[in-house]
Amino acid sequence: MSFLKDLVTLDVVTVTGKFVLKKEAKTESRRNVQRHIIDFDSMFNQLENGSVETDAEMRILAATRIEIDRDTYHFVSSNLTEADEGLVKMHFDAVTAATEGRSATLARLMPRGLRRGDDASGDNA
Amino acid sequence: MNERVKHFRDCCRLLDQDKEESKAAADSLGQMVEEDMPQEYGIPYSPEGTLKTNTVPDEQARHYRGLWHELVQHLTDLGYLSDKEFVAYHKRRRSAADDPVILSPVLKAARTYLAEEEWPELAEIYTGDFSDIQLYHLEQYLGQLVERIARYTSFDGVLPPPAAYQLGQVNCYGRSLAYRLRTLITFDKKLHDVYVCTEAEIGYLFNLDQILELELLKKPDHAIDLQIPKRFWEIIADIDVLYEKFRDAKPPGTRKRTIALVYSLTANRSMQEAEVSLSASPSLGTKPRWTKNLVKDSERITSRPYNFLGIRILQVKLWQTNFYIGAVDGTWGTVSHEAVEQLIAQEKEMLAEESPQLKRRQIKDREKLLARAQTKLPGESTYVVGLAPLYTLLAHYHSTASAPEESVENILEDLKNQDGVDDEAIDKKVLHDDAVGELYPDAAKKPRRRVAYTRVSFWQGIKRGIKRIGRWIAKTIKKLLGPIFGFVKLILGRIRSSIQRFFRGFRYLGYFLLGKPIVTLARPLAEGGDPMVMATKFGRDWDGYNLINDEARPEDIDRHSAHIKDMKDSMFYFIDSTVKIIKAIGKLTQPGGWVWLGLKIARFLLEEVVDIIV
Repeated sequence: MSFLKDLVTLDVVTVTGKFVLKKEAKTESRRNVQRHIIDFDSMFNQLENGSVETDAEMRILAATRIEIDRDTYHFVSSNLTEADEGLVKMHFDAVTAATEGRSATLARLMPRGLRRGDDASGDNA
Repeated sequence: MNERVKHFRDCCRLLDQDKEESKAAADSLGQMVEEDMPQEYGIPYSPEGTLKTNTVPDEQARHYRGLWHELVQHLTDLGYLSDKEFVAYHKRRRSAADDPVILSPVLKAARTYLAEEEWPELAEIYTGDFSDIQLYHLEQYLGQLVERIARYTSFDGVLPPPAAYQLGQVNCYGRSLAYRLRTLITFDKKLHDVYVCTEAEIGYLFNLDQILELELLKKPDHAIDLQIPKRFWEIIADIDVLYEKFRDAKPPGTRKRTIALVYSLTANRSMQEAEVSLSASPSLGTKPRWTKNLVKDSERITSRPYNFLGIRILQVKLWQTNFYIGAVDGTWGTVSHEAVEQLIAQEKEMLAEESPQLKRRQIKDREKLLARAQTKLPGESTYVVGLAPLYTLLAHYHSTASAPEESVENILEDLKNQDGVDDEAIDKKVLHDDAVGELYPDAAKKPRRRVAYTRVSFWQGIKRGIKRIGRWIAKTIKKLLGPIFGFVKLILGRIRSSIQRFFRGFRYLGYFLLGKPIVTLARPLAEGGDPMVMATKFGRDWDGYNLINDEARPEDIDRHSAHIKDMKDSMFYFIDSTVKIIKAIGKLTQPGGWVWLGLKIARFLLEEVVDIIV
């Protein structure tokens, strides 16, 4: 059921912290190569599982849940600074993108006759 | 008894008398018999030996007669034939075919002309000594000869500047320069008998240069340069270019913007020449106040060379378009006035005919142009002719040589419909009479009158037309090129951006399906520091997780927001486009599939274009 519940709800979480890209110098025989490294896979996995284990100072700035019936819950961190306002705006931009993305996906997956705006006059008419 | 006959008889009587008187009488008789009489009377023997014009079939003789007339005119204008010879020819020209002796002076003049001509093709036409050229040689190549010599007297812009000509040289260019000075400059009658330009005429050239504000002949050290610049030749050989230069020049002491010709007619339609003048006015209109000011202004430049040059230019243009049949002599007389009236009447007639096809605005514009071209002051006999509007009207006119065939037919048809004019009369009038004589009835009595033989032949006309189009394209391309390139750039930009978006969408779809985040790197806080990270990952159910560096600048955060939006839009653009492409490929297998695809592409492009324009 948790899988189904996850599918029908839309969660957007914004976490802030000191995320920087460390440069790692790798010496090869003929040249020096600088590689940017960040382990996004593990970080997002931890975030998804709700168990972030890191020494970095991280905090959840905002979280949004939209239910299937469009009931929406917004969680915004208290004590927001002036600099956080832009981040909150970005969070809501991400929510909008996710909502529109899901709607668009559903619209494309919907059988042809049931799509909103479809009428009898298609390309084949 | 005729004075000259009496003189002839007296001289004959004196021959056997006193020695001195006898010698003077013999000289006088020699002059009369050898020079005057051949021009006035048909002499039964030829001083040039056998003169035959037997190469031309009878049916072509009439056409050749016209060419002979034209040749005579050009030879006279260039000073190869004297005015006296010109008159003598015209008195007896009808008999020229039967009596070739009449053409004897023409032959002599043509020999002189050919000896001065630098014509590469001449060697192919005639290989012997020019003094051996006979009438039948000329007749054989009469068309080419006339075409060639006509360049020197034409104002159609067909005379190319000489490769090397120095003032004072006796050749065709020297004669052509003298002819142009005689035609354009009226204020010194000394020029009337100048047929070759020498250093003595340099002053006239400077005057012309000064009036037109060309500054082509002016040298910094005030030394006389005997080489005439190429541009100067081009200007004096083309009446339209000459007019443009005249229009742009400013008469000293005036605040000129427009020029008008002001003149009065007396009750019996004779012209008060003293009152003919050009006027410089700040604007051109048709209101009484404007005309009054114009008349007042005209008095300031009445006697200036600028005034006379303007009248001559207008006469040449009216003459070139066959409205003016008088002499181009700078005298604005009744003939000139009638030429303008004829033009205006013709234009009004044409406007009445074309009115049903024209819009109201176009009709108004044409009426305004006509009113400005010629206005009669109310209650007076003073006329005001706007040079620019009149020239605009004249610029639309074709010369006789290039008149369309149907107009000739219409004229014949109109003639037929007139009472008392039957086919035979028309035939006689048009085919058997000398058309030149009909148009210019007194060529022998008025030797200063000239027939306007246009030099722009069919092919030359086309060549000139193409050149004009070329110039127009070159001029407008600068204006058009920017918008055209801009438009193409916009279209191509749209297509390129669509392709880029398509592939970007493909990449984002890959990220989305594989659960990879989209990352925006923000500038480090300090120089050389580590870039800050802003990452967003959407799950396949669109659950989103943002990892944002809290020290990121607002502009970097906005950039990441835009990145997220672009990711979503591009992804669906890719999906939609791919579906459409698949559908399109499927449709192509059906009948008319390619047509459907073409329509789709056309519709897409149209939408893009509309989008760009809007």
